[in-house]
Amino acid sequence: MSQVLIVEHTESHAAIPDLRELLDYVRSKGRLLRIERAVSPEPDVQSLCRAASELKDTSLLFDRITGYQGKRLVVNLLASWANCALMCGLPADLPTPELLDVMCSRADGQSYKLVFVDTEKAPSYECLETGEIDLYRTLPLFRVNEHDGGFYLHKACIVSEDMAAWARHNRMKFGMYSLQVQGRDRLGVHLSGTDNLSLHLSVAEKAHRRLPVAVCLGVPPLAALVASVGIGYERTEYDLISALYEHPFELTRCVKSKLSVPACAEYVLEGYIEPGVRCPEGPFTCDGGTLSEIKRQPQIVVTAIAHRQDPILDNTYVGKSWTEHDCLIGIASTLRLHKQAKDALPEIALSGTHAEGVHLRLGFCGERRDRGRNTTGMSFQDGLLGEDCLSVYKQEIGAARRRQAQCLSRT
Amino acid sequence: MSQPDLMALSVPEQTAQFRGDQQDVCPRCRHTAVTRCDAPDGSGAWFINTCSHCCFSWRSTENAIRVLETKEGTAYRLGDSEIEILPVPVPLPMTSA
Repeated sequence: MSQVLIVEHTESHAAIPDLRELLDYVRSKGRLLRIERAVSPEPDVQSLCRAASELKDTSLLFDRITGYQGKRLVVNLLASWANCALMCGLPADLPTPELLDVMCSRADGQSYKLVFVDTEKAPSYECLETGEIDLYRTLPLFRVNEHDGGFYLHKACIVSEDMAAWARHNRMKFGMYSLQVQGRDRLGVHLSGTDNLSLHLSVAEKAHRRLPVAVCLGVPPLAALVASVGIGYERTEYDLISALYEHPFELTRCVKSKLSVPACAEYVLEGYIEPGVRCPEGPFTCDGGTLSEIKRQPQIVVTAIAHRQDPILDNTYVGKSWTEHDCLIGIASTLRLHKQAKDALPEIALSGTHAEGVHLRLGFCGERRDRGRNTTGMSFQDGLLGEDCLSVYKQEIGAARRRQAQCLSRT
Repeated sequence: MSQPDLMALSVPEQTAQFRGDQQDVCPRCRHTAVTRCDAPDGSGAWFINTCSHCCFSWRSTENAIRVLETKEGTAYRLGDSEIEILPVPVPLPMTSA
């Protein structure tokens, strides 16, 4: 396990550029708990993630998962406004309306030209596997919720292009999706039918062509924020990420498809979606705690895995409690709608107190996003993990917090 | 190839039956197209089974029947006929006659 790097920051500073530096920083602030004992993927990791979500404001780092020796997993990293503020280089105790003010201001601010790093020099491509692909061996997977139909990745950012407009750079989209690992080199992708990947796939299938995709895991935190909600075609996600960082965002190109991916992602899974193929995907517990339907969804065939040295899988818990998705989507929706509201209601921008603007922003951030799905025909046993059992994991987190606080007070 | 349905059995009985099948039969669709992957660190702590037919996965240390348990106390099944009529959010392109 790598040594903790204590990064000295002043109260406000530049946004944290990659996941690793953010992990070290939030840990130095006492806002990331490392689970020190050896844990099983199920039920330990599963239950600790659920307990952390119910306790709120708790991010977890696992590096002693049974069967995954040497692999690291972080969960719920941005499940609190405080960590979101730290991600932006702002104080953890910054009130949420001010955090949103700063982010909206950055989003409307200066544009930066993207920087491309040679693939050989990109941290994402420090290691590259193109032979026998085995996602089960590469990724520390766990069943996120007890009735999920498999092992899910809920913070996967997928890059794809509209083939009908491939020559125009603004047709490439970068969005967050839930993926089910369905084989050594197969990922089932949960699509709604109206999201960008669905549209890109439809175009490719009409032409009877495979759709190249790149799945990025452990992307820089502000990239995950932007990917969590669609921003339309007026601006690319990468341009917005650059604006939020107030610095050119670094990209690199996939070795096979030449898609542009974040140069500092922990993992890049290159592959394609075969036209005309649909496989059962699901169910999984969605935001709000309801169970999705099983549907026949496209399947990604992974042909290459690139990753950093000693990579960290950044996954997220989804379920009933306030989750990381709520923070990400809350902020990202506010950014998107703020611009539309400002264009339609210029008095928001002219208002001295920005009271109306703040109210508008909080209206999207304060509400719980309920993305419950139709569960026709399926009603699963709830709460197999009883409250008594869950309380044990909550106590474990409480004890870990106290030990961490003691360590920090001594430094 | 599908195995006889076990819906008539209770969850504990199905769990016992499932363990007797030695995990080479998918508990959800009862097909035998199950692939196995061992723990990557070579510890032998567990292995993951994945059904190539219905894409259900379970770890050897889990009770897969409990994963599938419904509120009615039975285990959820996904037969071939149910798979055929699953919703398809991204419609397949129409093929010309």
